Amino acid sequence: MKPIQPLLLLMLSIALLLYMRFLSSQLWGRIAVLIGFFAGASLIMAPEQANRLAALFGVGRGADLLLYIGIAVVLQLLIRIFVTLRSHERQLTLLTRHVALHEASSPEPKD
Amino acid sequence: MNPAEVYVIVAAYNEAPVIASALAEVIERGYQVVVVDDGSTDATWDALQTMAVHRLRHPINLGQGAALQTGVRFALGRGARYVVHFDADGQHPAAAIDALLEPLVTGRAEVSLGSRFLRPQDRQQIPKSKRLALRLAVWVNYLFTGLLLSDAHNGLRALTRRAASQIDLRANRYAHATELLRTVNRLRLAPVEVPTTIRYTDYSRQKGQSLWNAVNIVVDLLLKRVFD
Repeated sequence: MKPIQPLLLLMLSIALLLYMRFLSSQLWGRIAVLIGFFAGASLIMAPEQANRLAALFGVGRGADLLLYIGIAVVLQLLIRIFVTLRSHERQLTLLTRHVALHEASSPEPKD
Repeated sequence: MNPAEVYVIVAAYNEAPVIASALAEVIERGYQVVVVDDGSTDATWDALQTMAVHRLRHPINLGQGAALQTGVRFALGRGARYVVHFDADGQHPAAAIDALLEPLVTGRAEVSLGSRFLRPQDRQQIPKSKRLALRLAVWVNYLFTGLLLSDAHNGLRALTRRAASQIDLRANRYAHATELLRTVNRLRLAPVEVPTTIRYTDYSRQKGQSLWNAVNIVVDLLLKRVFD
């Protein structure tokens, strides 16, 4: 057992716990994350399997494959965050407009 | 044309020193003036209290495009027949409003746009450095909107009720100008350009948009193109 393995497992477990506690609320999301956890844990514990998997994709090392997958996942998350930010900006605009319209005041009629 | 049916929309952000003088003549001419305070941090809102204008306030700063959209929404809700975009810093002369409304009232067009490049006397008022940038902007604008205008970045505009209600500005900051023109082109509203002057004062010059802002706007537009 290489020292990195329990370390990675620990980090993965903490990530899982944080996710379950703070980020997840729906069943399918949780199931997907659990599957991801077990896939990640097995690859950490049996890196030779990772090498075999990598060879299937034409990638040299298992570690490289994991890195590539990691980058793809992070990019996807980043994009999701930006999309959410934009939608929040839109909601903020609509909300501010609503407030402005409702608090509008007009000049006294001159007669 | 009854001036009370004309709503002049003014987006204001930190214009306390000049807002009253910028709009005095417009108010005098009997138009309905709608000022949207876009979350100013100075005394703009206070200045508005003593002016005979409709006043709205964004609790947070959203940008000129959003402020104009709020003002237009308000105006349409009050039955506006014509809607005019007008600057808060005194750069626009009140007389321009009549010129802008003329093609709308005669039924020649539903959208009219001010242009500084139609008359030599207006062209000469523009500082030389700006002139080149504006000329280039015309072509960039054509690329993004499909409309070849003589002045692509003029804040003076007038729209009929019908045109205004079909335009929903979503670009909050400065890309709204291009967004508006793109929509106008898409709706085949064939805008008419009207010669207008701009008064460049030291105040407005110092507040003017930098070239970097122009780059920012182009990026904004490209992103919109990709995502929408």
